[in-house]
Amino acid sequence: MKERTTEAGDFTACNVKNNVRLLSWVFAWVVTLVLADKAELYEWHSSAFISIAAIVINAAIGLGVIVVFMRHLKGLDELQRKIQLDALALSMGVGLVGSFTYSLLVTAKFVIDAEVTDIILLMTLTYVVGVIVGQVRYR
Amino acid sequence: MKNRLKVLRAERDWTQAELAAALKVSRQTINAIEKGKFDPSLPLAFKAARLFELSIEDIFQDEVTP
Repeated sequence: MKERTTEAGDFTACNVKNNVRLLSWVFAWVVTLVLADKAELYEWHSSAFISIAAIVINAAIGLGVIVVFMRHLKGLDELQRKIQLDALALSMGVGLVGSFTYSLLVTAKFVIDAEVTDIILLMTLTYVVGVIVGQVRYR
Repeated sequence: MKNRLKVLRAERDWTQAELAAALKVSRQTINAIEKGKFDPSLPLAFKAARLFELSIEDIFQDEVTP
């Protein structure tokens, strides 16, 4: 059993490693997103080439985040994966329904200055709540 | 689904962490299975059966009564 405990250490260590890798990629993606956005907003440059390069780099890192997240899911055990997938399904459902409701509110002029980031924020918060609920349920 | 995981583990004097290590899952998963909150997949059930040198039916039982 001692050897197996070491294996568990490996499993946990592998999970921690995957988490750190995922967080690093997400951090890089957010930084490049903010830089690309602010550069345009505050006119840090006037080169179309730099603008396109910043967008392409951000999109490429975004694709990397997707790949790393899929690897992260594969590295989890079946209960952890279930918690993640339940949270993702909830987030997607709320995002889909929420975006149509939001669209109707905008059409009916109940909402002014609608931003796509509102829906992204809603989906992110729903995902976080879903993960917390899952962790508590299977504690 | 009922299971005898906790009893079998206690008979061998294993901790949840040790059993989790043997089955290569998290301790949270072992705890959830023992409490009946989560039913394991067939591959994990087979793994547990191999570890305890029992059949799957000796560890996991259907709760449906005739």
